[in-house]
Amino acid sequence: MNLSSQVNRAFFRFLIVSGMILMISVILVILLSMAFYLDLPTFSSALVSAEILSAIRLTAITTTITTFISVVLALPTAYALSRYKLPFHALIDTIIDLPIVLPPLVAGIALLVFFQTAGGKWIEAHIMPFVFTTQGIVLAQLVPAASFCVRSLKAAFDSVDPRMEQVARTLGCSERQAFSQVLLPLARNGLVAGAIMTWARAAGEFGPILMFCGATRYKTEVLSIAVFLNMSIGRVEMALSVTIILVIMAAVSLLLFRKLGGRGYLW
Amino acid sequence: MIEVKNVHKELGEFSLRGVDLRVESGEYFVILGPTGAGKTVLLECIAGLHNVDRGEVWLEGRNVTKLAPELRHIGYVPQDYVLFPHLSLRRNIGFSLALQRVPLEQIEARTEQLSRLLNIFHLLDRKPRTLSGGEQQRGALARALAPKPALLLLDEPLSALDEGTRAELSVELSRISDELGTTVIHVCHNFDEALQLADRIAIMHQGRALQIGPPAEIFRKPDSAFIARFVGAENVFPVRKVDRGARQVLAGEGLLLSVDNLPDADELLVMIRPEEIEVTRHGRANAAGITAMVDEKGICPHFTLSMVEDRGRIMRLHLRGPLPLLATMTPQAYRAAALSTGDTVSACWHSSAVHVLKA
Repeated sequence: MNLSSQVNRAFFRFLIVSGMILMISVILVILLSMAFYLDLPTFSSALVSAEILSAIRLTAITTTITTFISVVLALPTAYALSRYKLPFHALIDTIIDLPIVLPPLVAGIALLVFFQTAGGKWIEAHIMPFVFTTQGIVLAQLVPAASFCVRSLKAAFDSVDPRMEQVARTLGCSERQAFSQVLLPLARNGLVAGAIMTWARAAGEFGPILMFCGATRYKTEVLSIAVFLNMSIGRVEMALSVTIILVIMAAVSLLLFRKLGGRGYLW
Repeated sequence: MIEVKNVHKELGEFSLRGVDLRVESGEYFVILGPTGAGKTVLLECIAGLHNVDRGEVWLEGRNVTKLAPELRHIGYVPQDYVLFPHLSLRRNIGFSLALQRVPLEQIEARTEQLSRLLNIFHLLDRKPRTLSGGEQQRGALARALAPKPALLLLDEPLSALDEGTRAELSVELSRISDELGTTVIHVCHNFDEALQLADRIAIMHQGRALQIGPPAEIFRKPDSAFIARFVGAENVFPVRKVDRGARQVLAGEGLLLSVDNLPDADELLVMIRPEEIEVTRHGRANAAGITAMVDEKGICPHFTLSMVEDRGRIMRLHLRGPLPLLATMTPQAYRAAALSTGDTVSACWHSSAVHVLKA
């Protein structure tokens, strides 16, 4: 190889590698600058304050309920999308993806408007009030979380060759048996990984909760709302402490997701 | 008895355009054809994994066209075996019996019987991904045979195996189908494989079954030029009919060939299998042979041996002359004839070796 092509190759590689280093640095600098703004005593005292503990508990409860409902809704949907030849497949796909792609505020506004309709009012009167309530948090998280759950569960099902179920059918399995005896065991890790990511996504949700439930201390104060509230009254250390908690949660769930062999990119 | 009646199925680039065939009980039936012919789609339709667009599938006198696959009692071994990776070989083989809630001892007994039959008894507690291709193949076979199906569908069972394993498994397939009396439909694209195993062969091309018959018949008397080429007939030439009405055709430049059959068509081709051509020196016809090619003077034409290919098991002789011919000889016969490139030779064959087909 002559000198000019060697130089070209080196320059190309330099561009690629520096681009990547720049990307990584941007992310790390932003995240670490938050960490270095605080010191450990401030962080730990914020962590054990009544407000933050309540926010952690509320987040844990609502997010778990949301994830549970999401999985129940998403399992049959993901199975149908993965295994059936549906009419208007592209349309159905788009509809299910909408809540993820829409700006988060839109989900909140849509929920508000729904509960102004006759049907919504009936629900508030006869089942349970949701607007500007604690239980409304679950609904606000559910809209984007359920769609996200469908995506991740579908990815888990897609990773299993449908020929496995076909062969199982020839061996005497009904469709249901092929699902429970072949697909489910093989997709299990991917399904759990998908549920974990759904949980993480729901836990970080902010826009819909703000619009639909409001930002009331303690009452609708999940972790993301806690950041907002504290920032808006100037308590930066509190806000930052909660932010760090959220970052740690995100990192841990991502790690678990990869560990369980979660495939692809769901977002 | 299995009947496929005018089955049509559109599946992207692979489609069936009206397949008709009948397989007798206990028969070893091979579907042979190039890739893209639709062989796998046909198997999958018979197994019930696809709904046919048009046509019917009948099994043992029942119309099963709309019947779900789990109710058809057919054994299916796909091309890539598809053993369940989360189960041991033992649980794979016993899978269908466990579904039927057969008592455990019976499942054990049947698993042992089949695994011994297929020489995989020592592998029963292994997971599929630790097994070789041949072992997985046998495992998939055992799994399909466990519920004693009346029909066994094999999709290219030997294609991915090395020569030695292929020969072994070929013998075992034959033995198993004989011992168990199972009807087998075996799909492949290799004619030697088909020749060895089949009671009857169906040639499939572009979604249709072109010719169905015993291997020898397809081998010696293919219906069309495509089939002839597919089964390895290499001496194929256009010929013209001779007005005199005698059983003769005109090939090349004024050469007459005696033939046994003469189809009623305007465009004809003639096929002479390379193995049927006897090559001798000095232009002498051999004692028992009949020289079937003569010119106007009734003289057997000469050829020049232009090239000899040593293919190990067979010698391929390229002859240049009034027609370009390919002949094959065993290495032993070649040595005995003491031929070498550039020699002038005679090519002789019996008139029954000449098969006329429509172009």
